[in-house]
Amino acid sequence: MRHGFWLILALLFFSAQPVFADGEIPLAMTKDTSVTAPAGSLLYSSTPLIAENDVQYTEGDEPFIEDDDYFEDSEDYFDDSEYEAENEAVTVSDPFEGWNRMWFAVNDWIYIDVGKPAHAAYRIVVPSFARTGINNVVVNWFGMPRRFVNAILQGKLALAGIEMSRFIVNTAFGFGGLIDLAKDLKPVIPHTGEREDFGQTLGTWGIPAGPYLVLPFFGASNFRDTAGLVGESFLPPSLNPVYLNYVLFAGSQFNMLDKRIGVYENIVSTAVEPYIGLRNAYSQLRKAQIEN
Amino acid sequence: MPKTCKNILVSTCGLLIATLLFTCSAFANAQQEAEQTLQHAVDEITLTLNNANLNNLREDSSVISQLEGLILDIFSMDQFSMRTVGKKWKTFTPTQKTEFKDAFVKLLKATYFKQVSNYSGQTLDILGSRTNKKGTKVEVRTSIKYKSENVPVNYRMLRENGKWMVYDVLVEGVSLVKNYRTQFKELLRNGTPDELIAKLQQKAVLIRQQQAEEAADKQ
Repeated sequence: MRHGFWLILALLFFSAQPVFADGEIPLAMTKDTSVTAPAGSLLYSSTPLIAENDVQYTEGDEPFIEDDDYFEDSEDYFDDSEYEAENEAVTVSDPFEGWNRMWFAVNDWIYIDVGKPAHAAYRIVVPSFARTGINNVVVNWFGMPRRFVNAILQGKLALAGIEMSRFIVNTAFGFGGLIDLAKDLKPVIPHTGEREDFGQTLGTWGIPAGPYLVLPFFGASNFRDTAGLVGESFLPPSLNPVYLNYVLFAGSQFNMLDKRIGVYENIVSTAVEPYIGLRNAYSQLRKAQIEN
Repeated sequence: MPKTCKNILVSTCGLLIATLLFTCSAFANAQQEAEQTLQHAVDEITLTLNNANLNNLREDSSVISQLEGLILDIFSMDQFSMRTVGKKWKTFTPTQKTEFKDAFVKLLKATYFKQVSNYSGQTLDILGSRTNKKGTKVEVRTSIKYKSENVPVNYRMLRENGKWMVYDVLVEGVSLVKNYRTQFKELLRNGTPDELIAKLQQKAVLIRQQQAEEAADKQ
């Protein structure tokens, strides 16, 4: 019996080894590849990007056949068939391409030819610390309730807790949210910086993305995220009279416009076909955000 | 419990443990090797960047060509070209394949070289990795500190000619290969491989012109 005990202990210990090795259960050890990575490290790992429900193959383009020599291991969780399947899904869901391309061109002009010089002038008048302060206040007071509610709606209670504690710390000790103190503190559960919005909540609930849609000013979106954006605007806190909300929103967006334009330029300038590049990047980004 | 029974039990369990240990170490090795290769490459690139004078960079500066060599040493352009083109890669002739690769390298160089001058001591931390079932591919999770924000960047690697090479980069879950593949697919739907190569070359020229204009504006 004594031997039995040590054997069991040894078995337990050795089978737990990989957990110690890099802090997570290696997926490769399990047969079930549909198991996604454990929670926590999810922001940093791209979960298997399974094709969405709305995958349709148009114009006789059959799904990727895995007998290619380049793409042999079809059972792997990051094999190449998922690349192809996703692209098919993205290709078909753009019935309003004419409208979208038109607004893509208009938005490009707004961002690059109007927004960029305007923000350059704004940067001269308003110093960096003031811009960060303004952003912190908005993110703290107007962003936090929305992120908090959406974290709860997605069942991410730990994240909701993080949001709440960050809010308390920043409001109490950061001059009402002017300084993002919580960022520099070492929390018990590390905050990965993920931000939940209503579009992601809808995605978590299984609502498909719907057709791709380029909104005036806002840029890339889709039907689900547009619905999320509209729905979120009804959430508190709300200023009185109502139009102040829009002023605040536009102001805070303009305040951080350089960041937004930076991301936009990075995607568009590295693309050979910018419209397609941005459309695909948006869809991949949203998918990753929903899956984590 | 009879002695033979006990012996059998002990030896089976021993075998089980041995197998477990073996498989663990096999995967750990692949991951470790990949992580080390990546870390080594990143260290070298960081060292080069820190030692170089990043003012007045030009595309033909020696730092840029040095960096290009280091990057192509860890980044498999063969795999990248093949995967961005996808299924149609088979219809490319060998000359077209080389031309495509060259044009793609030039385009990437033209687009990314101006980012080099923005470098100001950003660091890359390796957070961990995972492998596929066979242990032939590894995804290394890293985090890059950029303007007080941590950007998650994943490197997908495979063994090519006995060396771990990166074949895809995922920034915040956005795969570069997938992104280029949708674009090339659209271009190849109506166009030929030659047209695609010409398009890549045109884009590189266009980017150089824009950069030259921007440089002229500043002066």
